[in-house]
Amino acid sequence: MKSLKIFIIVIVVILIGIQLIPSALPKNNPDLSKDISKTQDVTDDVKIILHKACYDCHSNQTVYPWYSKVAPSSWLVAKDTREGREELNFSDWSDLSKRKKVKYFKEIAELVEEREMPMKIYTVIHRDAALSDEEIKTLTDWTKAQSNLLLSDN
Amino acid sequence: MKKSGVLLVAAAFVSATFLQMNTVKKDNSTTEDTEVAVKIPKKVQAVIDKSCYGCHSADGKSDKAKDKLRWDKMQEYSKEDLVSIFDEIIEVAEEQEMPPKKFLEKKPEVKPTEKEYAALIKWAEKEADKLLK
Ligand code: HEC
Ligand code: HEC
Repeated sequence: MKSLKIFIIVIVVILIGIQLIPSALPKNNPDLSKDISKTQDVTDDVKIILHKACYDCHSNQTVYPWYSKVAPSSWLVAKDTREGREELNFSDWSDLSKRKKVKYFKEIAELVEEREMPMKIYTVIHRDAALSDEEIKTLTDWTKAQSNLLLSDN
Repeated sequence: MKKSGVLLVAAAFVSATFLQMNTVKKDNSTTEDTEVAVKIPKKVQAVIDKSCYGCHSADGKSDKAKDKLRWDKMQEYSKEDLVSIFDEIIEVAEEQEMPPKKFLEKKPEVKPTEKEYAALIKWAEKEADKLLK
C-alpha cells in the first residue's frame, strides 16, 4: 500500500516536471501571400480537404488542440508539425520552383493514394481527416491537372 | 492435299496480318515516347555507367532502387515522372547521397568526383527545364 502511494507520487511529480520542458511548438504565421491558393487554382472542394487533412502539419496555420499544450503529447505534435512543415509547406508554395511543384504534386497523389498521408496517428483523433475514396480521387485528379498545367504552360 | 495447302497459306496470311498489327502498335507507342526523349551526353553517361547503372537498371538487386529510378527505362517515363526523377537526381547528387555510403565502403572507386557530380546536376537541371518549357 505504501509503495503504491510512493509510485503514484513519483508519477505525478514526473508528469508535472515534464511540463517545464519546452515543447517548442512551431509558430503560426497568418501571412497568406505565398499560400498555394495564390498561385494554384485551388477549388473549394480541394481547399476543404487540404485544410482539414493536411494544413495542421503542412502549413503555418496549425490549429493546436489542447493536448498539444500538455507534455508528453505536446512533444509529438511539435515534432510532426516541425517535420511536416520542413518537408512540405503549403504556406510557402510560391517559393518553390516549377520543378519542385511538379514533384510535390506527384508525391501528394502517391502518398494520399497509398493512404500514408495524412498520418495515421492524426486521423485517430481528427476523424474527418480520414479521407474517403471520393475525396482521394478529388485530390489526385486535381494534382494531376495542376501538374499538367505546369508542364504545358510557357 | 490441295485443300490443306490452301488452308495453310490462308493461316499464314492471317497470322502475318496479326503480327503486322502488333508491330504497328509498338511503333505507335515509341513515337509517343520520343516526344519526351531524354538526351544523355557521353560524359554524363560515363558517370552513370560507373556509379549508378548497376543498381538502377534491370539487373539491380534492390527493388527499392529500381522503383525510384531505372536508367534503362528513361525513355518510357511520363513527363511528370521525369521532372520528379530529375529533381531527385539533383537532390541526391547535391547531398552526395548516392551511391549509398555502405556501397562506397566496399567500392570507393565508383564514387563520382566533384566534377562528375556537378556534370550530373547540370545535365538533370537542363533536361528538367526542357520539359517545363
Ligand atoms: C500529423 C501531421 C501530418 C498530417 C496531418 C499530414 N502530414 Fe504529410 N508529412 C508529415 C510529416 C511528419 C512528414 C515528413 C516525414 C515523413 O515523410 O513521414 C510528411 C511528409 C509529407 C510529404 C513529403 C514526403 C516526402 O518523402 O518528401 C508529402 C507530399 C505529404 N506529407 C503530404 C501530405 C498531404 C497531402 C496531407 C493531407 C492529405 C498530409 N501530408 C497530412 C506530417 C503530416
Ligand atoms: C548500391 C546500389 C546503388 C547505387 C550504385 C546507386 N543507387 Fe540510387 N538508390 C539505391 C537504393 C537502394 C535506393 C532506394 C533508397 C530508399 O528508398 O531508401 C536508391 C534511390 C535513389 C534515388 C531516389 C531517392 C529518393 O529520395 O527518392 C535516386 C534519385 C537515386 N537513387 C539516384 C542515384 C544516382 C544518381 C546514382 C549514381 C550517382 C545512384 N543512385 C547509385 C541504390 C543505389
